[in-house]
Amino acid sequence: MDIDQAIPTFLLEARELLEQMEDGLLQIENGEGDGETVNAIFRAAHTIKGSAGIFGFDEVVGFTHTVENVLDRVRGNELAIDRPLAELLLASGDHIGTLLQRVADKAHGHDPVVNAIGHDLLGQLARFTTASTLPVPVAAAAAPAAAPTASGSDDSAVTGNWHVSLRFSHEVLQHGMDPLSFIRYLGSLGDIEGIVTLQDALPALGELDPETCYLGFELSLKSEASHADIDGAFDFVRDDATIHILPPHSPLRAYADMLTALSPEPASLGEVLVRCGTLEAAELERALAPAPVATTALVPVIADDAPALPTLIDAPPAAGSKPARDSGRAKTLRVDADKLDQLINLVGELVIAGAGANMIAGQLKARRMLEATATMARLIEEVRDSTLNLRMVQIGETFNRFQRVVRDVARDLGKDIRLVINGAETELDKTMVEKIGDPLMHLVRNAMDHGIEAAELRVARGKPAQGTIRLDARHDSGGVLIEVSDDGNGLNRERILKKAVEKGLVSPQQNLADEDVYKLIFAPGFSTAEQLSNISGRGVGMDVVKKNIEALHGSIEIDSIEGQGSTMRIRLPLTLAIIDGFLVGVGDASFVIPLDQVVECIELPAGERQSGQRRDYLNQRGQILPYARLRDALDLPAGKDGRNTDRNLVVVQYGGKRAGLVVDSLHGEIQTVIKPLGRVFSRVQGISGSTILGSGAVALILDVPRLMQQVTDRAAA
Amino acid sequence: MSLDIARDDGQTRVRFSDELNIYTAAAVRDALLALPADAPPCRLDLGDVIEIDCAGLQLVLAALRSLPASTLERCSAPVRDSLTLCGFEALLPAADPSSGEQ
Repeated sequence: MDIDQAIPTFLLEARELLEQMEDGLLQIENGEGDGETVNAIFRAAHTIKGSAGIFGFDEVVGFTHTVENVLDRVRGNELAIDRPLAELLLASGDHIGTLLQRVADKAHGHDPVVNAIGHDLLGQLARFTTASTLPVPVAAAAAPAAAPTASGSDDSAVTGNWHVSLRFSHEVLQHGMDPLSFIRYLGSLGDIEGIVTLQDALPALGELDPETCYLGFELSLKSEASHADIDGAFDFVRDDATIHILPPHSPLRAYADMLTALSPEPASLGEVLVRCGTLEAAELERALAPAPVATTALVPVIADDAPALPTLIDAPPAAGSKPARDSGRAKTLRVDADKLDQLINLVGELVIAGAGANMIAGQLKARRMLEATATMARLIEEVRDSTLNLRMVQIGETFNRFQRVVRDVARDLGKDIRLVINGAETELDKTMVEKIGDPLMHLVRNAMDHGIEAAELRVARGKPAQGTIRLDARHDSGGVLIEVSDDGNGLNRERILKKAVEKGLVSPQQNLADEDVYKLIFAPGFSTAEQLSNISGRGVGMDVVKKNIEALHGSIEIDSIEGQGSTMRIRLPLTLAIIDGFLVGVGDASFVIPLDQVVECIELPAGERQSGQRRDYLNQRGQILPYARLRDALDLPAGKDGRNTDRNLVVVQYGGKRAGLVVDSLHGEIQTVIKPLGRVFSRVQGISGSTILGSGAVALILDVPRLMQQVTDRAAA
Repeated sequence: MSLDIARDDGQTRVRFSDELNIYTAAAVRDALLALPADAPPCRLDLGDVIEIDCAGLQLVLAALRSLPASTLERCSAPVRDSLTLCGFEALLPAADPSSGEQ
């Protein structure tokens, strides 16, 4: 197995760890953190360093090591995280992110800008480290001086050497390989500074089988080579050996794990590591000391997992070693998103095929067949739901990114703003979560820049000096509702109107409802900011925000009270792949209305059917229900017999409104796989996609809000 | 591979030559096992060994352990090299002017 394949996993996990670090630091900065938060930050840095070392990403290791040293002092209560230090650590986290990005980009050589930033940060960090915890290259030389920390087995070895542990199979000689040649090769990668040949297994001459290999080796290698280079030395003997490679400054726990894996008596094998110079006696003692429970359970995954990929897999599982961690690991599984997409596609096809089978069974009037297809349909539905569920992720991760944004932007603006998050556990399709990030970011920035007033003004208005921005998410009528609200200025109706008139978007005579005025800010190039700042106000934003949200089949509304704040309300469907729909017919054409938008179906009163004297509303149980004829809305030709039946009315709700859609026939519920429309149809209003029916016919999926908007616009014109 | 076993001055001298590797290890082992149990202290002369591999090395290690009071006497460059590689400098004969491949 090629270690390169593990790099994406490393990057992914390292980025997650960086986010954890950032979250923790922000918590501490807000005075919310405790000892466990500090530990979590430390572990995150520690794990990033350890894993980076495995891959030989020296830049990352070196820098993170220094960060870790500072954090270690914080953990040991030698240092408190105050604002400047938090700032510095956040910046350091960003720098680690940059270094990881360089790894991801496979950037070679040195980037002077990155180096300068790193150097500057290291200089600042150095003020917080003690003499005994200098950056990596010096740490090795200063090894004897490094005072043991009180951190149990969670700290790293002082050694700047790789440790390689080799156990050859009995058959390796018969397979034509000489273990000594591998060691010789290692010698060519660097200096073997210490080696111990283990001959415990070697029997007396009488019992010795000359063709069986009995020897094992533990060696300490001083080398600049990467993990891949060292590991590559054993390509030919991988099946015939148990190989452990520990990078310089590995966590002591890694040594302990290796010892436990290799020997029933880790302590005596540990002595060997001391003899070959990898560990100091004190380090061995700490490594083998029973780890505090929290450490064992919480040390994040990559430090253990990544090295496990190429080498430890060969190792016999150590009986009873760290079962707690193993059980935690088994709970989640990383899967390539493309594989999920493919699965969903297949399930989509299955849904269509199932509908086809059901239809044929119906035509054949085969009762038992119908029963069978009904069972199958139910199962398909369950499979579909579970499959879609696989793609559901909590929106919290996206929300949490905003903590940092709010903090940084507030600082730039010189405002005091806090972000309150609600409903972080709301689940949404992964694609949606990814795509909603940018629009949300824009809304949050806008709210901070234009919404929240300066502190003096807030106090003068009787508001708390600290502004509040809220991010809320919740499930709402089959979709997700995300709100970005602030307790700031609110939208200024007059100013928007004035600007809109200036831009020629509306005429001064037009009498517009508040809602319609607010909508004007989504017009391209519209910005009321009197002073452009570098945060927002370039007028490229809101129209793009709206477009992006609509691309996700979502909608955005604005609620605002001047002087009290505004709320941007985004509605999104849960997923873009499959929906439950309601099939209706107009003439020969079939249409699908998303089922969660359907409220009820009623018969259109006979009086309303005369097309001669049309009203566009009716009295439904004492309430006015506006309605539209789908045939007219979509300019469909009259039915075959030249007579529009228009018998049925489907009551739909969307975005808090209710309306009726008049159709010819109702065909009932249907599971539909959304097939996107081709580019040619991208400008067609009121249609969001298409689907294939069991009969093979195409049905168009209605985009009810837009369709109704179009009808309203037409009526107004 | 040839193995000379000689006795003088109350010592057994086992002189190895040519290759000491997986191909010869079985023969060497048998020859060593054939030494009488009451043989006097044993000196292993590896000065003429031109090649040694892991099989040879572990055979030497086993012999040093199993044969009574045995020590290494001379080591050729390849043997010296392999022993050093594996961290057995301590086993090398202290002063060994005659080492090498002659």
